[in-house]
Amino acid sequence: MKKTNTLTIDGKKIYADEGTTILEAARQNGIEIPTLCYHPRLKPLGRCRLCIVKIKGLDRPVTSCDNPIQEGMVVATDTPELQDMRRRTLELLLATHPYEDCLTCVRTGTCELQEQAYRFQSELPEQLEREVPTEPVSDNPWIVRDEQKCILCGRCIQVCRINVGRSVYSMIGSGVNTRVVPYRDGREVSLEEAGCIFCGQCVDVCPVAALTETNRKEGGREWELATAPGVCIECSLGCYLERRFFDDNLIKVTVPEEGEKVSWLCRRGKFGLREREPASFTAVQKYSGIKYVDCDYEEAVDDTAAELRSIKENEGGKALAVLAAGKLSNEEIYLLQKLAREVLDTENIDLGIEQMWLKAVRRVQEISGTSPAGPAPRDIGEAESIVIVGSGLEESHPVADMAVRQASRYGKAAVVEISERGEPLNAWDGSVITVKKGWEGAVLRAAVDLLKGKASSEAAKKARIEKNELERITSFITGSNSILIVTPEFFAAAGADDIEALIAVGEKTGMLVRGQNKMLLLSRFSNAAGVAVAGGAPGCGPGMETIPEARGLNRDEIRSAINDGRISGLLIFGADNETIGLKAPFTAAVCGDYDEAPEGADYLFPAQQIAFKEGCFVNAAWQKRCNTAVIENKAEINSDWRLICDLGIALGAKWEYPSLEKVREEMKEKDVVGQADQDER
Amino acid sequence: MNNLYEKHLMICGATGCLASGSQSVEEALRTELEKHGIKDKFRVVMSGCPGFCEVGPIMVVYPDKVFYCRLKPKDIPEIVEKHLFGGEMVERLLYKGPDVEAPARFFDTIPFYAKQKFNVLRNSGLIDPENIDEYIMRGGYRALTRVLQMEPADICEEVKSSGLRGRGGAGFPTGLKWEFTLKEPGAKKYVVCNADEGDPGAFMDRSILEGDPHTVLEGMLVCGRTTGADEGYIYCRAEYPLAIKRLKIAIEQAEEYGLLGENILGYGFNFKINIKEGAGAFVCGEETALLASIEGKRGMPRPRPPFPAQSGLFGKPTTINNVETLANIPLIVKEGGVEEYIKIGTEGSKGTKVFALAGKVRNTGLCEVPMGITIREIIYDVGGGIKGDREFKAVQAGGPSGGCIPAELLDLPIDYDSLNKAGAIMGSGGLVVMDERTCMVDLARYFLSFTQKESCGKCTPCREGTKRMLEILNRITEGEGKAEDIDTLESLAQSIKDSSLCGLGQTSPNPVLSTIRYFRHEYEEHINDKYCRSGVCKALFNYKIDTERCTGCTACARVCPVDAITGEKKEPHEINQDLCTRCGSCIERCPENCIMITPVEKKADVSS
Ligand SMILES: Cc1cc2nc3c(=O)[nH]c(=O)nc-3n(C[C@H](O)[C@H](O)[C@H](O)COP(=O)(O)O)c2cc1C
Ligand code: SF4
Ligand code: SF4
Ligand code: SF4
Ligand code: FES
Repeated sequence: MKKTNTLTIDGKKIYADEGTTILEAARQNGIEIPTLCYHPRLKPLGRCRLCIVKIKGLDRPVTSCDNPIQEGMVVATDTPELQDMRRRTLELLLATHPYEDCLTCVRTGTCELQEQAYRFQSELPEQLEREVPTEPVSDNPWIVRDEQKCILCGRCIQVCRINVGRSVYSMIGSGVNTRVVPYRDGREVSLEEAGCIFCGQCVDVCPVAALTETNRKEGGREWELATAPGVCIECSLGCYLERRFFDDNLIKVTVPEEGEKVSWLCRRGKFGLREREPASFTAVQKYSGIKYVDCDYEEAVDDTAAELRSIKENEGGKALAVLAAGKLSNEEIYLLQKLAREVLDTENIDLGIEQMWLKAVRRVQEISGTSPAGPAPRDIGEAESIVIVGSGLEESHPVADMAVRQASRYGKAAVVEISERGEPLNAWDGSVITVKKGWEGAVLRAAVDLLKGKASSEAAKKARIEKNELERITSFITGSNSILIVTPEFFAAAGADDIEALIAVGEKTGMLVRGQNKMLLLSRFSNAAGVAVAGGAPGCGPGMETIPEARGLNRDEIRSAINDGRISGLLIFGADNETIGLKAPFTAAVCGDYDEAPEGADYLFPAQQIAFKEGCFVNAAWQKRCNTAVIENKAEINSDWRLICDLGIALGAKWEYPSLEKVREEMKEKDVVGQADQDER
Repeated sequence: MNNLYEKHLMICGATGCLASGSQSVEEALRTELEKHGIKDKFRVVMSGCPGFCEVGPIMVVYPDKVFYCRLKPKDIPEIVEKHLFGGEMVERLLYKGPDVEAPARFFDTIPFYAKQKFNVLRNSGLIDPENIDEYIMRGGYRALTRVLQMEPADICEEVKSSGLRGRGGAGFPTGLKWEFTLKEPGAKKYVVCNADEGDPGAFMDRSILEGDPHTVLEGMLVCGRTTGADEGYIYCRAEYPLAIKRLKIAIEQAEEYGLLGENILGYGFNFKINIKEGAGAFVCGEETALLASIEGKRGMPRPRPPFPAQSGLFGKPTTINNVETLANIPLIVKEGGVEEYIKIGTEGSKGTKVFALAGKVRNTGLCEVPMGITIREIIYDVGGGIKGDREFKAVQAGGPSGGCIPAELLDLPIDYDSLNKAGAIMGSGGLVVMDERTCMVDLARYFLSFTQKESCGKCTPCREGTKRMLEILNRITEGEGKAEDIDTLESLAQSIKDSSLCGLGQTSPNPVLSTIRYFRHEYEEHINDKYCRSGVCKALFNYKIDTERCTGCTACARVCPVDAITGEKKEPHEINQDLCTRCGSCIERCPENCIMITPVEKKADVSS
């Protein structure tokens, strides 16, 4: 329990937790103090000096954003002297800001400098001369820098250094010619050369238009943009985001303003949605034998249903298969598995999940007794030691990588990665224990042996790991605030014994006990957890029900079955370079472009643009997060869940789903999503 | 070993005298001694700075205390022959000045030295700074031996009761600072010695490091022992290669003697000292910026709290002290030191202060004087008065962060508090003396352009506010001043003072505020009358020849580079204002002093 301090602000008695800053205490009590460099999600910067307040007994005013409250403190926030000083400071900032640009500036309306200028009714000061580049720099596809507008608040420097773990920006120069620039090895360079990963988080925190998204000059002023909260489905972390639309077009994606549950975004989160364009064809495409031609939707649905029905009747459900690549929502997965199991009578369904990942998740659930909930990026950022099993975290789950960097800053957390990576982890304060590809499991087995007290173990010899390295791993993960992260690369190569070793390590170290799991299991598929809970995998029904007797084929098995001619009908969603092979069965695919289409598919249904997709997802930390519906008409066209319903009905199912809500109710009744069903833990 | 030599010849080997050629004097001396085969009888030492750089290169002969100045290599044979062999001093090489009647023979009869009191410079010029034995012989490392047998809290008490205040600028009580670190829990703590010395013109810290490096090491050791630190850093500006070299030698020797390193003198106390060379930005002298710089980051201040005592270098409790502060320590914590120490100084400021005397004063250089001495004594006794017998106008104390003190306050006894009250600061101890030819508006402009350039750019008021003030001052000195400018300057100054993040910004308006306070009329003249009475702001005055007194010697006409001066020989001359560039050549040349500074004559309005 935190101690409570009592203080007086502007004559009002205030209670606040010890350690709260004066600014926070004031704002919690509805007292507004102007700020410019302060950002609720960053550590105080203390640079703009707008937030100064007077404290009784001190001669000089102090900044409220970075000074903690003290018992009995008497604070004044609104004296004429303070206001004068703030006004002067603000007018100095305006004096180096090209305010004549405001008319056409993309941040007009949401610019924090403009807002303060309005509040203070500032006079427009004569410009101060300063030497900064006057032309915006746009040397990459994502971010534009316009230094003239920079007010040197330092937010970008900090978010990049502390939260993203990259340190792209530095301050250079001095006096009024101070600049914030991408900087590496003693010189100013491009963002890319400075190690930027284009996560755009600096853009999101910049209070002015010094950092903006490329193309932001097109499509609507800030206040005209409609906001739809949502979730990123680029990887299985499922970060929160906000989609901003203008005129039915996605303009940009931002991190939600506030809220503790919010994490930062990576490049795929920030810019990925915008890059996923609408399908390149609007009508269903039918293969004429030579090329694709437009086809009526109803006709395509009926034809597809007829083909599938006839295969089912002649060869049985076993000759049918349903595939998807993991960007489906829980509702879609639920409907699709229902279509497969109840209507098409097949267990050959794999909607994006690794069998070994599923196995690990099931074991975790068994032992922890609750849900397989694992740590979230926020927990990683606060961990004291982190063990990463498998390589490729930075590529597959960049935000987890950022959190690792954040935790390891200044050696706060110790990090070790067991992987085939050759080079050292110089960006983190950590080290790599290099193993041959696919041998991470052997190291885990050796660790289990060590934890069991076996002095020399067969497994350790096999894994060719030194005893001291092994001891380091085990000591890291037995710490009280430690986290284990398992990357998709591990699951891709793992066998059942590797999974058992992983679970044994969890149990032996106390990471995995009843009621608690500190292992973050990362799948290659964004909504792998959704596939598990909604039942989109062979042998895994809704609510993760085990269906042993009827276990169908998984992705790889389906592929070889196609080649053997055992599959005659195929339904593919969000084709991800699926091939049908020589024995081309009947195939209907949902995709966004001819390039993505499985070769020789009979029907191509235009995929729904992901930015508009309504529905919920479950992330690797077992948190359910949802995309709210956006602009009605766009969401309706080509929506994937409707297509599934239409196919079901055409196949003779008695389905009645007038809206997604109905699907959700049914899932709720069956307790499909289970523990994750409260929007957040 | 002292007795082995007949005489010690101490040649100043500090930066000032090296620049005026002391190295070649030393070489000449050694050659000469060699030639006569007497190099074992006379010991030649490149010593620390005796302060009087104005008259360098300097050599002091001990035990005679004879002070030779302005030496050239060619003077050496005469000294060897007359003084070393003949026992007679060489009169012509002694100090002569307007402040002494006859040439001053001895070191301590020179007026420059008479009012000085050597505490921190006690060894400078007396010992060979590259030889630890000489330091030890003069009582060095005795304070360390003593504190190794004391309780940290007791050492703290002694430092507190000495009244020592930080010499780095702000004058924070040193004992109190140490106590904060001492009370902070933690196994790892640091001591940092601030040798950044960024004030333009200041070189007291350099002198101490060059002349007596061990006293600083000893100060750090005592601090480490007191606060519980086991590692120290000396942050020294890279432009001080000699200081760095001597520090390195000193550290090596102290390690050899077991005075640094593990288990010092067998008392179980460990302490090591690292040197970090600073890049030289002024703001890097600010403690939090300095710490960032040692950590390898850009030297930029950060908000306090947390103070370095709580979270300093690498996040550990850290005591940071100035060179001169630390050099005081061995004097204080030696046996009976405190009683001696508090005898000198004023109520609130004990001990001495080293000042760098510069500007329009006759004797420029370094001097160490007791706190409480008056400005008059410093300028007229130590400094020998104003150059060219011009009129004293003001002295700028504390460099770019300080303020000016006008003639009315000549009898102000100097200490931390009196200077603050007068609108200046002690700062690191820079004293720039100004005469009637210094324009106070231009002076303020000069210092502000320095701070604007040195502002790290982190916080708004300092970064942009000093630029705005500078623009206004530029305008005023160019004759474009507006009536409201003084008010604007004052209110901006107040904002910057009150709301800047670090000391640099908070003190940057001082030169402006204090010149406005004491020389408001000069500002008003610049703005309203477009007149610079000091003849500095070129757009705001004319040179005019006093025709009554002009003898027509033509000296002025001959030096004028633009031929603006006309007149017949032996007839009064005249300056053509349209041609004159106000370069000032003529006024320097006129033997009659009859060229005057006058307001710009308004041209007759052509249209009416
Ligand atoms: C802009 C600025 C520059 C400074 N430069 C120096 C310096 O060059 N040397 C120094 O000792 N202290 C300097 N200081 C003061 C230090 O911040 C600090 O107060 C001092 O080193 C503490 O030592 P002391 O208590 O022994 O004086 C500077 C302060 C500011 C604000
Ligand atoms: S985009 Fe991300 S990595 Fe690049 S500079 Fe901005 S915060 Fe840093
Ligand atoms: S670019 Fe934006 S965030 Fe970065 S310092 Fe400038 S104004 Fe602040
Ligand atoms: S006051 Fe000046 S030097 Fe100090 S932090 Fe602010 S900008 Fe930097
Ligand atoms: S908000 Fe506190 S200094 Fe900027």
